[in-house]
Amino acid sequence: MLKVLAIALNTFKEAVRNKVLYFLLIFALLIMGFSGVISDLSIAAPEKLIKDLGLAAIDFFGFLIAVFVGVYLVYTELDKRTIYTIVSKPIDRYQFILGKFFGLLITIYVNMLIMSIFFFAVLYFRDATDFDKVMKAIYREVAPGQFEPIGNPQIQYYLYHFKQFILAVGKGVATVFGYSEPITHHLMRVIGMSALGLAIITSFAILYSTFSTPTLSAVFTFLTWIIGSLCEDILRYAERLAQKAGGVENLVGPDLIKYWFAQVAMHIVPNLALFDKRMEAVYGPWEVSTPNIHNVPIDWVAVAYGLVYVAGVLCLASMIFNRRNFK
Amino acid sequence: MRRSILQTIVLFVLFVSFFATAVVIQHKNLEKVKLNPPFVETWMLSGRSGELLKVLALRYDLVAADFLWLRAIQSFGGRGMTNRDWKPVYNMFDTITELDPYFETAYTFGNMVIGDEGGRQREGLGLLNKGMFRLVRQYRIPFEGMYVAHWQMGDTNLARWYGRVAMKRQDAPNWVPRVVAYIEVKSGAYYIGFDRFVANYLQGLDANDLPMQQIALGKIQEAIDRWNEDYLIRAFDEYTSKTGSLPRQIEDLTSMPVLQEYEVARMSKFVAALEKRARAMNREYGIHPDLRKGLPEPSAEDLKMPLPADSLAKPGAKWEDLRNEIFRESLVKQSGIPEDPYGTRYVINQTFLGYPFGKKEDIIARESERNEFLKNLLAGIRTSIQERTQMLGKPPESLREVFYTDFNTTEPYGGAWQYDPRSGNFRSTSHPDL
Amino acid sequence: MKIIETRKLSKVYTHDFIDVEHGRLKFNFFRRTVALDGLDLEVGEGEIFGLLGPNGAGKSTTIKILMGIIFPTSGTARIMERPLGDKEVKAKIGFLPENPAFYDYLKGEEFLDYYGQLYGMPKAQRRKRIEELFDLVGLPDHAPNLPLKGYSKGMIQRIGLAQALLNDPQLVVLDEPQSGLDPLGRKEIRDIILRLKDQGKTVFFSSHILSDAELICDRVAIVNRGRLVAIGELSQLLSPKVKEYELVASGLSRESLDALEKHARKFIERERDVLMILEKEELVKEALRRIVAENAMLVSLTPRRETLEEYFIREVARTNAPREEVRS
Repeated sequence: MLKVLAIALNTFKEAVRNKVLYFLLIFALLIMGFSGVISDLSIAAPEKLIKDLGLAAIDFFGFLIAVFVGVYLVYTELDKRTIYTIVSKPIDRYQFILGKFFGLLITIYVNMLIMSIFFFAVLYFRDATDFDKVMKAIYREVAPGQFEPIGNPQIQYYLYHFKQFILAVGKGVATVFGYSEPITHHLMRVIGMSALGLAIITSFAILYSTFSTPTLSAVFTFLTWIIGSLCEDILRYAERLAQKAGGVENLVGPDLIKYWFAQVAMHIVPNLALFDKRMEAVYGPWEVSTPNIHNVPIDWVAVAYGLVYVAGVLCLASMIFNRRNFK
Repeated sequence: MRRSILQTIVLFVLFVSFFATAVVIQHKNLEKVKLNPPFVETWMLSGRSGELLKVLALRYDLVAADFLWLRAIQSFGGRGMTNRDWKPVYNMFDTITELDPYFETAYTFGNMVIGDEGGRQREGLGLLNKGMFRLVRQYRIPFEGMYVAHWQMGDTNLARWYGRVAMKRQDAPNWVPRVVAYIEVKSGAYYIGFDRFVANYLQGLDANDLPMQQIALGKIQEAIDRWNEDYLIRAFDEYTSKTGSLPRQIEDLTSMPVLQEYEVARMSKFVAALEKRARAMNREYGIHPDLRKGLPEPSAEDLKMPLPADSLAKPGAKWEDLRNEIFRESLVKQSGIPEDPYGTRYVINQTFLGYPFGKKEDIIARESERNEFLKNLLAGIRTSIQERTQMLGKPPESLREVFYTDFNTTEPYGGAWQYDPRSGNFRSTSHPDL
Repeated sequence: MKIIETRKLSKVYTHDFIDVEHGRLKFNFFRRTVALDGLDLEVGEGEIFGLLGPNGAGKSTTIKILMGIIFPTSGTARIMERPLGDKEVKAKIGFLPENPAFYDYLKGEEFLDYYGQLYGMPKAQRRKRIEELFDLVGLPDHAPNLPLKGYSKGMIQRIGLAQALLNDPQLVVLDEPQSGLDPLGRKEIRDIILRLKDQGKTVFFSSHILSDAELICDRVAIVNRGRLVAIGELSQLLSPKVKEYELVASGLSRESLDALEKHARKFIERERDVLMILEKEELVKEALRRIVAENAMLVSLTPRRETLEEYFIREVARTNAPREEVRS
C-alpha cells in the first residue's frame, strides 16, 4: 500500500507540472467569477445562477482534467521508458495502475477543492454584498425611518466590500471542511458526489491509456462520459421501441436487436446521472419542502455503485496491463 | 509465470464480481427510473428544440437553461419589447423550462412576456400549466394563472379553478384566499389585476430592473383607469336612467348612488405607500425618478401618515414581502369622482355625447385625452378646409361646402366652433389658441 | 546456485496490424519479427557476465524478458531459481536500462527516494543509502538537489546506476552501461562493476564495447540475430597462442628492409624507423639477426594474441548467413 502511495504521490507531482491543468483551473475560476457578475443580470434567483454555473464548472473541469491530464500519465511512463525501471522493482503491475489512478484522483480532487473554495467564496460574497445588506452596514437607524451614514459612506462602502471579500474567502475554506450556511447547505455533498462520478471517468481514462495512445484514450474517455451521461436516456429509447411495437413480445428483427442492445448497454455503461445531484442542490429534493435550505440526502446506493464500478474498471485495467509487453 | 497467471485469474474474478454488483445496482436503479416518467420524450430528436437540447446539454441542462434565461430576459428588454412575435419567445421559455423544470420565475416571467406583452394568453397559460404540475408545492404559478384567466380572459370559472389550486399550495401566504375571494366579487377582476401588477412592480424593484418597473407601472395605471371607468360608466347609466338626459359635466355624476362609499385603488395612495416604505427601508426611491412623470402627486397628508405598526418595511427587507400591505394601503373607500391615475382628471367628452353611436368608454375621458382629441379634430377639419380651398381657389363659403352636409359635431369641451369664410380660419371657442 | 538460467528462450514480435511509420500508414499483414530464438544461458553466482552482440542481436530483448518488461513467446527463464516476476527475487535485483530516462521534474535525491520507496525501504535506510550512492557513482556535490532535467547524459547514467544499486542487490543487470560515457566515465563504471564482484555480487551486463568487456568479464555470451553464437570463459574462447608479432626497429639498411617487406603482413616506414607485423617466428628471428648484424636498434617487439574483438567479428561474420524473415 505504501508503494501505491509512493507512485500516487509521484504521479501527482508529475501532473501538477502539466500546464494544461493550470489553464483549466484558471478557466474554471474565471467562469465562476463570471457567474457572480452575470447573476446580477438575472431578474430572479441570482444564487441559482451562481450555483448552477459553479457546480457545473467544478464537475466539467474535473472531467476535463481527468481527460487531458489522465490520458498522458501512463503513456509518458511507457514513452520515456521509465516503466522499465518501475516494473523491475518489487511491485506488481496492478500496484502501478492503482498508484496512477490515485495520483490522478488526488490531482483532480485538489483542483476540485480549489474550485470549490472559490465557488463558495463567490456565493458568500455575492450574498453579503446584496444591496440591502450593504446599505444596512453603512447606514444607522437613528429614529424609526430615519437613517444617517456611519462615517464617510464611500470609504465605508469599499471597506465593507473588502471585509466581506476576506470573510468570504475564509468562509469558503471553512465550508470545504464542513462549515455551512443556508446558501451553501449540503453543497459539499453535491460536489462529493460529482467527485465520485469523476472517479469512474478517471478509472476509464487509466483503463484506456493502458492499451492505446493518448489521443485515442481521450476520445474513448470522452465518449464514455457522453454515453454515461445519457445512460438513463437509453432506457427511454428502449421503452419507446417497445411502446411503438406495442410490447416487448411484439418486437421483431432489427428493432428486437436494438432493444436488447439498449438493454445491455444501459446496464453496463456507467450511470453518471446517478452522481448528478445539482438539481437537488438548487431546488431541494422532490419529496420534501424546505424553503431556502435545500437538503441533499446522501444517496448510498449511488456511493456503493460508484465504488464497485471503479473497482471493476481498475481490475480490468490491471488485467490488461499485466499482459502487456512494453516496447 | 504461474504466479502471473494466478494474479490474472484473481483479477478476473474480482472484475467479474465488482462489475456484476455494479450491474445489479444499476438494474435496481433503472427499475426506479422507469417509474418516473420523463417530462417529455427526450429521445424524440426531431421534436421541439427543448427536447433536443435536453439531450445535447448532457447533464449540464441547468447551465444551458440559465444561459437561455439570460438571453430571454435580455431580448425582452430590447428587441422583444417592440417585436411582438410571440412564437420565438414562446419556444425559448418552453426550452428553458424543459431544461430546468423547477425554475419558477421562468414560468411566471414567460407568461408575462407571452401573455401580457405578447397578447397570447392561451400560450402563456400553457406555460403556467406545465409549471403548475411540476412545482406542486408552490402557489405562485396557479395564482398567476388565476390572474390570466380572470383579468385577461374574463373566464371566471377557469380563474376559480386556478384560485382553488393556489389556495391549497403549501407555501401559499394567508392573503392568497382573500385575493382569490375577489373572483366572486363584482369588479373583482380589478382587485386581482391590480394586486398582480403591484407584485410585478415590486419584483422589478427587487431586481433593480427599470424596464420591468416601467411596464408594471403602466399596467397599474391602466388597471386603475379601467377600474375607475367601470364605476363612472355605471354612474353614467344611473344618471341617464334617472334624469332621462345626458350629463354635461363629470361633476353631474358625483351624486349617483354607485359613486357613494365605493372601494377603488388610488394611484396617489400607491405612490405614497411606496415612497414612505422606501424611506423606511433606506432605499433611494420607491418610484424611479425617470418614471415619475405622468403620475399623480401623493398628498402631503398621505405621506405624513405613519406606517402601520405591523409593517414589514425595515432596512434590508425585500419589496416583494410588502406586496400585501402596499396593496391594502392603495385601496381607498371614497365617494365622488375617482382620481385619474395619469395625474390629470376625469372629464366628459361632449363630442361623443352628441353622437348617436358614442361609446361610453369614449364619453368618459381624461383631461389629457380630451385635449388630445380636440387637437386631432381641429387638425382634421383644417386639413379638409385646406384641400377644399385649393380646389376652389378660395376659402369655402361655409363648412357645408366642405363636408356636403351640416356640420353639427359638438366641440369636446361643449363650446362652439368658429369659421371665418374670408380667411378660412377654423377655431374652437373654448380653446381659441389651439 | 544458478543466478540466471534460460531455456530455449524465444521472443517473436507481432507487429501492429496498422502502423504509422514516417507519417505514412503501413499495413502489416501478419508480419512478425523474431528477436530471440531459443536462447540458453546460465550465469553463476559472483560472476561478471557479459552479453555481447551487434545492434539488434537480441541483447536488450533478453534483458527485458529477464526484468519482466516483456514476456517470452516460448521458453522459460529463472532468476535465483525462481520464476520470473517473483517479487522476492525482484527485491534482490538492480537494473539499469539502456539510455535510461527518468522523471526529469524530480531532484536527484527525490528520485532515488521514490525508487527506494518502491523497494519498500524504510526512510532512515533510504536516506543513508542515497548518501552513499551519490558518492559511489561519482556524482558532483550539487547533484542531489538538482532536478534531473539539469543532468548531463553522463550524470543520468550514473544516477541510473545509483538507482540500480539502491537495494544493495545480489544481481545487477546493466543494459549497455557504458554507452554515452567518456573514457574516464567508462573506467569508473568498470571499477564499480569490479567492486561489486569483490562484494560477491553477480553482474550481468550487455555491451557492444568489447574492449571494456574483455577487461572485466569472467564469462561472455555472444549473441547474433537472436541466437547464441558462443558462450564461455574468455580464456577458453580466445586461442592462447600468439597470432603475430609487432616489431619496431631503427636504422636498418635498405637491403634488409626490402627483404623483410616481402614477408611482412604490414610494413610502415618512417624516416629511419620501421614498423612491421610479422606472422611467422622464423621471420622474427631473421629480422633480429639483421638488426644485430647491422648494428641497428630494436625499439620494441610485441607478440599479439587474438582479441575478443577479432573473435567476435569472426563469429558474427560466420553466423551472418542471410536469414529469412519468418512469415506465416
